[in-house]
Amino acid sequence: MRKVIKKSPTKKSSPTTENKPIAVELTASQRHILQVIATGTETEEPSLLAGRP
Amino acid sequence: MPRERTHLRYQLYRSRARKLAGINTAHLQHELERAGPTVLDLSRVRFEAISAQALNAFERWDDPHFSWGEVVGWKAREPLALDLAIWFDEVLCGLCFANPNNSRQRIRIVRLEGCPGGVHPLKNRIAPLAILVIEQYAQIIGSRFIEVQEPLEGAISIYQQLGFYFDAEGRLVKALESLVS
Repeated sequence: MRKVIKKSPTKKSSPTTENKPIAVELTASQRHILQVIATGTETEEPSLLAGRP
Repeated sequence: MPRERTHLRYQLYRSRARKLAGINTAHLQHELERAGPTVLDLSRVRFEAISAQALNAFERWDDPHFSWGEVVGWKAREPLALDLAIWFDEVLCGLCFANPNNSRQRIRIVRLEGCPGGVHPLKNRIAPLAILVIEQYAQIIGSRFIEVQEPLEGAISIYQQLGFYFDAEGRLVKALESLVS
């Protein structure tokens, strides 16, 4: 009887893809927010942004 | 639905919103690096819950506006609320608490504060980073509006830059859109 060679159940990832960020579907608003994150806000951001102490 | 199950379900939603925002900022960093050298590394930004670790880091803030320890009690009472700690590596840069109304149509930003005094690595980015997570959460739970509760005068223009406007009742709101295909 021939010996059956079993494949490893663990899936090996490609080294070229493992560090690549996953693209997520974005709304136009989210794209705009990301743009502001990239550049920083136009005006100086105060530390208190919402709520009454 | 039993309260315990609601707690767990919304915990999952909060976690997903923070994780998606993290993927988005990492992706943004990737795009910026492709365009050229960048000063700020957005892949070091972390979105977490307001945990004991966040509250410990908050204790080191100089002269904060709020006592964020109160949020622990709020989190227990408000199972739908979103709590957020914005980190840059091990530096706690911002804290936020937002709460949907009963119908979940509107999420109110109850508190948002950046690390006071001096300069932290995410200065001038706390509001957009927080709104990014809140919008993700709003999308998950099906909210239509985000409202800023009691915005500081000096912060209004920042919210307007992020798409907020005053509605007919004088509330600073942002209408949310669905995904663009």
